[in-house]
Amino acid sequence: MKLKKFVKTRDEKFGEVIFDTLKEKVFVTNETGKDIVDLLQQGYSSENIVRSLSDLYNKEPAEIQNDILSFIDSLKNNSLIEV
Amino acid sequence: EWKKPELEDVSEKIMAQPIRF
Repeated sequence: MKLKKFVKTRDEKFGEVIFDTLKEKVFVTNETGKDIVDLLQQGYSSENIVRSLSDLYNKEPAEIQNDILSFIDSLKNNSLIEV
Repeated sequence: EWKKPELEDVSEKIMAQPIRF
């Protein structure tokens, strides 16, 4: 899963701005959302993202898994990532 | 610190400012 070619991002203090240049849509996400997008761009699977972020944030994978999967679903529903 | 990741569509707010692609 990666961002579609026409989707561009810009880092911000609060997290990240995501531009869908095809539909002229603008999304914002927070720091954890930015981490997920960064890992998706590096080709991580959702399972690996859960594992990586549980290490980074000192959380049990089960604690953060639903949040991460919901966020990835939001990206899919807005046609921002290739499935 | 873990915060629930959120995705907010701010297109309408942006486009309401007569900012353009």
